[in-house]
Amino acid sequence: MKAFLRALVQSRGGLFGILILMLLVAGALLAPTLGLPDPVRGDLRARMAPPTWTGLFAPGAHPLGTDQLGRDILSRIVYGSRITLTIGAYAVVLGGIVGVMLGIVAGYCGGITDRLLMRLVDIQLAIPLMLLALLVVAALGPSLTNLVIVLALTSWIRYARIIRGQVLALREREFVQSARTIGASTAQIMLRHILPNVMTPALVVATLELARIIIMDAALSFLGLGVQPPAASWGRMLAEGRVYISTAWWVVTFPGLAIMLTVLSVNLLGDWLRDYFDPRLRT
Amino acid sequence: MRHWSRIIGATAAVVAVSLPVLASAETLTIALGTNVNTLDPHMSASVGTDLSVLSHIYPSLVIRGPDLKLQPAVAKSWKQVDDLTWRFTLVDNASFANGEKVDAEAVKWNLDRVRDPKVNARIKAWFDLVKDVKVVSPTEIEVTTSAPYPAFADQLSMFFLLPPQWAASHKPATETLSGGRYELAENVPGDHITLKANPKWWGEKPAFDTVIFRNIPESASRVAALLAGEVDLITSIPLTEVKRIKDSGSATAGSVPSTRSLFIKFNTQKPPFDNKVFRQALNYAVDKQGITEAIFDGAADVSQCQVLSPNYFGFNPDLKPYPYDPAKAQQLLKSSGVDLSQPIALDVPTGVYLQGTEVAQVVADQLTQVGLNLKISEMDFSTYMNKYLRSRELAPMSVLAQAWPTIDADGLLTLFAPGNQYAYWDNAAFGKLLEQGRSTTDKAARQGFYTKATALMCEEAPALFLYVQPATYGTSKRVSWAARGDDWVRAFDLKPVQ
Amino acid sequence: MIRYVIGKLGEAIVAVWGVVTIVFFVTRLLGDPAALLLPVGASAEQLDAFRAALGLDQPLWQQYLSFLAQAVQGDFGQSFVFNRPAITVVLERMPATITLAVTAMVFGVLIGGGAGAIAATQRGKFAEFAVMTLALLGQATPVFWLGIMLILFFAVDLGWLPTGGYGSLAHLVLPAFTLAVFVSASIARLLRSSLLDSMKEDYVRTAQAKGLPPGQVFVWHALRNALIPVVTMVGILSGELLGGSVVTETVFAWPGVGRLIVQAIESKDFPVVQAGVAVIATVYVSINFLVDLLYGVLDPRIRRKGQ
Repeated sequence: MKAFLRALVQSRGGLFGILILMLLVAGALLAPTLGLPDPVRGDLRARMAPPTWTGLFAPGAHPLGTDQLGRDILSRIVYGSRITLTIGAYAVVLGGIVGVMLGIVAGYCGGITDRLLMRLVDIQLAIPLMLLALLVVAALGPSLTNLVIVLALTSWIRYARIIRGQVLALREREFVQSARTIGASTAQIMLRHILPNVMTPALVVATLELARIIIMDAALSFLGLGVQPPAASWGRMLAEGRVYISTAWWVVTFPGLAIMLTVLSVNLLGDWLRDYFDPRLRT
Repeated sequence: MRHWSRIIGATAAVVAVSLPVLASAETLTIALGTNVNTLDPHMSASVGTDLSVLSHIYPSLVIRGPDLKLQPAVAKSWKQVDDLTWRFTLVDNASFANGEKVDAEAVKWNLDRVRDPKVNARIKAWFDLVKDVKVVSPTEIEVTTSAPYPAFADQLSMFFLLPPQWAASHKPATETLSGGRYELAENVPGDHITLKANPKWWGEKPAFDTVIFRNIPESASRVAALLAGEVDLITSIPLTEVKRIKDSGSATAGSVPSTRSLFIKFNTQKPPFDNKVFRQALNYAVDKQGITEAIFDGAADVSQCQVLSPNYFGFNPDLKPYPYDPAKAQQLLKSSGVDLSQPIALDVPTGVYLQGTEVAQVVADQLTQVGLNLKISEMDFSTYMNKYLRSRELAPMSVLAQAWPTIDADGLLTLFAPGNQYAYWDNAAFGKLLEQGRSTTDKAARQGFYTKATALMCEEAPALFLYVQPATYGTSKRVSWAARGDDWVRAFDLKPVQ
Repeated sequence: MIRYVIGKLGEAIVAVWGVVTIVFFVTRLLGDPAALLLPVGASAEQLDAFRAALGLDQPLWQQYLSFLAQAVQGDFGQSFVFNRPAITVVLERMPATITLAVTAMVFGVLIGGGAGAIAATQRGKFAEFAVMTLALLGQATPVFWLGIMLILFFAVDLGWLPTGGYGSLAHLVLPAFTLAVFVSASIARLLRSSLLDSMKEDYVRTAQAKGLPPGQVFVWHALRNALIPVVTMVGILSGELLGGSVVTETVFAWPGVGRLIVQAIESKDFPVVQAGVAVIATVYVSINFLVDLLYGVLDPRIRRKGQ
């Protein structure tokens, strides 16, 4: 553990990533204690007030400006992070676990299992997201859990396809073959020999998916799935500010930057983790 | 004050339009926010897109001018012979490009087609009261209705005539034969429709030789296209963009009151909205004036305690909006005996009403401040309509904007009549007044009934009356538009600026 | 070989049938076109008559059977909204979609591939940092934001390109660029990381040790293996773009199939939704089939096993 932390502190990227991420999580957890303005009730007269840095800590100051209903954007970003980070984390992890597992199974077992799973992927890809979202709202009702389910459903296929391709090549490799000859079980081979070797692409897909999921959240909340107003999520803030993009740039730009910062920190951390755990790099 | 300047502006626009203009070989480009879907004028009830484009290609008996008054077209005059009979006198020189006459026979054929169940016309509902169509002479036609239909002539302004002989061997959904000012030159589905002046048009030569309707769904992109000089007319843009366009100096923009009122519909058939005092309390709790000023820069007019806007026949000028009085609201809420802690759903359709989701959030916030426990649920419009009409589970409160294309109280108010599937309100006295309003064609008498009906509706408050939606637009400096609030977007309402 | 192709074709048909069947029942569960297509004020009887005229009053299984009987002949019925054959409505939008998708993919793959390769071979240098920062921006920038900014700058301020629409090469530039940014960002990131992995592999090190020229080692040993996940990603992204990129099409007023299908879902135009997903499913199945073939080219061991 000590070695792990020392390595983390010594790597510039990893440290930066974890610091930003910790800051975001701390902001989310401590939001109510930060003395921010009310994130859901605005002052209509102060609609779309531009960012001001004078009297930063005075009451009524809006360092990132206000939105189309006069709500403080900084406060909405901080409160919104609670929803966005939760949804993002759950959907990425859930989609990732399911996708990686099925990808390994399809690639390693091949044959009818592979064909079945891959046609399932085709079917899933071809069904429009909007239809899927409307179906879930109608059948299961709107809730954050259902939102995560839909997001994970759209997500697992990417992991599955990419991991499967990787596994198709891996299973013919010497170390897998020899594991098989010495009598390792299928499950053992998948877990011990295949899984560690597909972690790199899985991590990259996960960071790509994170950005996609955060932005996609908005489209789904307009269909009634997920965050409903006046609550904020970053995706919603982006989408609601869309029509004001050329008249009040700050309304969309700051939530956009928040998303970018999150994705950046996760990327940096992911890159570092990969290097750290890569057995071939450790000497 | 604002009203006056608007009236003066509108008058100036009308005067400007009526000045003679030199015909020039100009191209006019109009941006539409939604797709043109069909070229068959009987297969769409969408005035803002399909019917607007088709109004350039096909003739109609009457048209509605920019001042929202009916004007003669193929019918040079019309009158009501009695409560159930209408007689139209047609011009004698109207014809389609293939030489087919636009005569009484052609009109009858069209009225028969639209009512034929086999055709399954989308606008069949408009003509269900038509009982019989009789050709008196080639320029004279008589229509008998099964009940008085005072708005029949208005309805005909949205009814376009196909050439009967041509239609027998062609598909009107994809093909056209002009009988109007323009003919179809090019149709790239989803992108644009190009019209060229019809050389065989029997009326006055239009000011623009070529008219292009471009489909630009994103409002920010429509504004960009206007500012880049690609299009001459755009509509449906947020008020902030109106200001930006004006400030840019490279184009102009503005807004006029539309014929569509936005309100929050109550489901009065379920508690707690079966409680009249509760419904009234909610009307006191919302700052209508504040909303129109903050969100619409004052361009939206507060509804005068009715769903009719001043443009409508039947508008009641004596009604005043419920004042914004949170204290009174709270007092009424108390006396209504309704348990305020119960969660109440507010359904909001997304993507249909100009800044509608913002308004919903403000209203919800203000109602929360007087003690209600509101939960907003956003949904797409088709899900919303499904709840409204198909599964009949309208939420206790839902954001809705309604208009009636004939701009007549008979129609818009009917959507609240007892037994009507749109109503979710059952008030026999209101229904009786509407029936009386429909039973005669005497204007003064009708106005009297609608004055009473709207007053009753204001008092009973089956809705939270909000505002008349503004119709926003932007135009290039090359043209002037007689801006109108009833969805029609027509090249012949525009004139080149010299 | 013939058996193999027939087998694949069979799978494809099953997948398309699966999609279309799911969508058939889902759309009918979700809504009712009558209230959306008829003018406001239409009575309950008028709505019922309209549904009957479209055959929507029939029992669901009966509707499904007659739909299947038509669909096997390539007939998806008349669009409720457009009043013409649904499959025509979908197919006439395909050229616009294909043009945009292919252009965006070609540029995305070239830029993303180049950037990824540079980043992997210039490990720890400024080039890697620059490329990866750009890739990050590309993947985290919302498409609509980028699109509108491009329009404001290149079309409104500079006046070099049209704001939107379809028809000429100039119309294609901005939407294709917008999509290519996203595509290249994904590909650059994936290629870099899988190149880093494969360059550490024993056989690459062996090849290096044998004194083969670095270029040859890179292309023949490291790159070929690293391309497997990239090819998969290209497949997924191509499918996605060929299915229509709704946001880009909306911002740039591009008359593609993505917007069409969303419009059809919104207006409950069942025949167009069904025809649309059938076409998209076919596209996905074909692309994934091609990707599987490519695996064999990239790594001969896969081909041996795969057949």
